[in-house]
Amino acid sequence: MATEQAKVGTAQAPAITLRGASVALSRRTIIAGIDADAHAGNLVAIIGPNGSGKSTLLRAIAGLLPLAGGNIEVLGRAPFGAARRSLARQLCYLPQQTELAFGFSVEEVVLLGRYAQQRGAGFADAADVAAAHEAMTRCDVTHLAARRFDQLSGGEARRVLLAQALCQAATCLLLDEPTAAIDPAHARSVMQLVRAQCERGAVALLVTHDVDLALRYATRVWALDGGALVAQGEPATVLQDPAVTKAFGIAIHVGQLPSGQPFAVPA
Amino acid sequence: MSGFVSSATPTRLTAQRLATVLGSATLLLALLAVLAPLLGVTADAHGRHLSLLSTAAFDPSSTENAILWVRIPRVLACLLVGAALGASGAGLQAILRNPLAEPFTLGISSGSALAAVIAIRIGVETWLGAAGVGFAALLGAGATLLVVWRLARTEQRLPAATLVLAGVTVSMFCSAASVLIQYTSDFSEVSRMLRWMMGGLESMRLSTVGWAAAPIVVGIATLIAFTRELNALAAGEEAAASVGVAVARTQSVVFIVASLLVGVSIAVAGPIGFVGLIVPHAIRGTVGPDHRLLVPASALGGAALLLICDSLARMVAAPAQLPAGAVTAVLGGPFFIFILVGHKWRANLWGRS
Repeated sequence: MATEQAKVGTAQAPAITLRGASVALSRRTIIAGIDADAHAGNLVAIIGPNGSGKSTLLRAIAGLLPLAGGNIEVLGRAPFGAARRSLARQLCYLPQQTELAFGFSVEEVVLLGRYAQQRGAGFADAADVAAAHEAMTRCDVTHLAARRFDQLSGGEARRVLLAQALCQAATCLLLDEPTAAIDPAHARSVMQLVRAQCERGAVALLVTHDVDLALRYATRVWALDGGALVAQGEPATVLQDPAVTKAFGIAIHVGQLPSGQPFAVPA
Repeated sequence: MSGFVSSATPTRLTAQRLATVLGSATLLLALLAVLAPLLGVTADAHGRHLSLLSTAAFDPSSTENAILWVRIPRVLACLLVGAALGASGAGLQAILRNPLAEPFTLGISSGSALAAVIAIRIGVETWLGAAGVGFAALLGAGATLLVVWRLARTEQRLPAATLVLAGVTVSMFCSAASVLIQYTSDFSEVSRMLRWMMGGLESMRLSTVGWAAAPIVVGIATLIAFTRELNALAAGEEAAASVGVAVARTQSVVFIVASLLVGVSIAVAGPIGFVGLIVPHAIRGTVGPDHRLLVPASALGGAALLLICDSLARMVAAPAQLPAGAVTAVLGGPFFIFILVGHKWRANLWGRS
């Protein structure tokens, strides 16, 4: 299909397009008429108070929820109802919470990310092992390879799942709170590696409550409130937008460290 | 890098490990299957003790040889029914993401028992023979699975919690209905109903085995074809969908095929409990959770367990025979408690100690 050629590298066509996208769960509207674009190279941080629809928006873009109105396109096609296997080669999704049944090892969990690339019985070949190894190194979980996934700490499990998503080798990364439960140093390296993916032509949408990480690493910020997109644009501008202050009920202060490095904290 | 590969290799399933484990399990099972019909002492009409572990068993005119030919279909039926129960238990536990699920949790056995009870009550045996009850049980299993599936399926999804709830509800309804029918039946009908519900393989014919072989082999092969998808489902429906699995199709196919496997095995041998629950547990604790190995190994393990239980059922009270279903239950209960209490086992099965 034509969409197969639509590489993310092309700057003109947005990789992810939302036009009047609305989502309802049990007939309650969660997302109402969102218009937004994300281009190749963008690292979009989605912020907003609890219940503002961030995760629902991400799940809709991942094709896991039907739209109540409008449309969403990921690399030129609607994700909901698309064949999951071919979609998985373009788009990966890190859920906010994952509970794994049965005692799979960390390496087995990461290799599950290669499902869409594998054929036949799906025994990991050299390419799969190499991809898994690279993703595990980048997420700093290589030393956990032989451990049981369900015995990891919350932050370790999060990094393993991120490694699983990365070794899917997709160009659209949808990450729901990738840094939740992760210590500050690892949180920064996670954001750095997502940023590096984007600089190599990927597009990432990530939900976060960490406004400082959003300011430092995101190229754009989308702010949600009550299911509507109330502000979008440059991180520093959006974080100080009156609509964002109103949404959180608290202002976000953007300043500069003595080193010249910008930072953001709830004031 | 080489350190990583060598330390992590044992945790990843390779074609070589799959072949080694399944190959040696198949060999052991074949040995057991050859040995089983020869074991056990029986007596002829004159009270003379006969052992099949003698050269007489090879003489086509001897009583020993005749007994051997009676036992062979029974062994084959054990292998088929045990394999069907083991594999379907592993498949159902995977789609429900619950190590406590088993064929009987989902109402399939109660539904087929209700159909069998109705069949006995209305006298199906008089015009169709014992096979008529088996056929009714299969129909009952099919009808129950359709009802449970319809009840549980919402918006193209088959949520695990709803499926268990629907299964338990239907199971309770069918059990209650069976009890009511038994209450209104006469003594001889009730005794035949109870006897059927104990499950057993005593009077097995080669024709029954032949008829059950094709659906069971095809069913197990279908489950094996979906084992990669079952692995991905362990992380949840959305996580599986995002790595590329067609979740609803996997759940539906595995649920329907596993239920039909249970239905066929009930039609052949009556309801035989615990095999579908215990075997996948024990295998998972031994070879790990990867379903590509777990499902076929559970089939082999189920076949072995049922063959052992049925041979014991034949031998412990010889010349009287116990129902194999009673033996699996009597052995299964304590074994399950052993699993629950054993710390090491519990850590392996649930991940927390």
